Amino acid sequence: MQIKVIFFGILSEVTENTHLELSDIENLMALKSYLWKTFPEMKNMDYRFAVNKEIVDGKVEFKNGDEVALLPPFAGG
Amino acid sequence: MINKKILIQGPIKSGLIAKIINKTNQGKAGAQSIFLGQVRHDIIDGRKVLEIDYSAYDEMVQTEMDKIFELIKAKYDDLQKIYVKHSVGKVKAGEHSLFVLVACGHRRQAFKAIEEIVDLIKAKLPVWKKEILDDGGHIWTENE
Repeated sequence: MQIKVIFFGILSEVTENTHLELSDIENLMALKSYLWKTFPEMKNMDYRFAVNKEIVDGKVEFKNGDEVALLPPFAGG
Repeated sequence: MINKKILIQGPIKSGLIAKIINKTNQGKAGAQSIFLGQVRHDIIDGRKVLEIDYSAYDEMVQTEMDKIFELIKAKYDDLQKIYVKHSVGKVKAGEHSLFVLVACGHRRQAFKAIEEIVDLIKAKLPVWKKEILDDGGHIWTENE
């Protein structure tokens, strides 16, 4: 199973990536722990998750091909 | 109805604004209200903001804007049309980065709806800004 993780705003700077392809990460909890281990700075940052463009929270199971976006606080206008 | 393409590369120039007004002035509307957001000549800790580099989650901007439109349409029965443009990429201080036009049958709802739409745009659209400073540094800012 593979998911695409995309980073926006300050998170693309912290991770030095705009996106990552990750295998065998089955849910949001597992993704969080992977990210916090790989990019410890992210533990103390403020952001939300969107799966296929819908903001999600709590227990989320991923499907193959899901696009998971990490969204720092919005700043439009 | 609402326009399909919200994001535009670079600043929103007066020529484009004129074109939109010419395009949206047909139909049953008796009032058009317009909001223009511009990059402020800000000073942060003694450093001048030269420009803002906007980035966005393109596809989600479109879906969120459609949701905003549905919400506003359900609330304002006099609403005819909404037209929104938001910049991505670099916009210099003093240039425009947000254009919102609301066409209604009469002025009351046009005034109210545009304020609500601008607030929703700031709260709901996945857009980020990097303020570029005159000492070469930058700051990521967020809406209050």
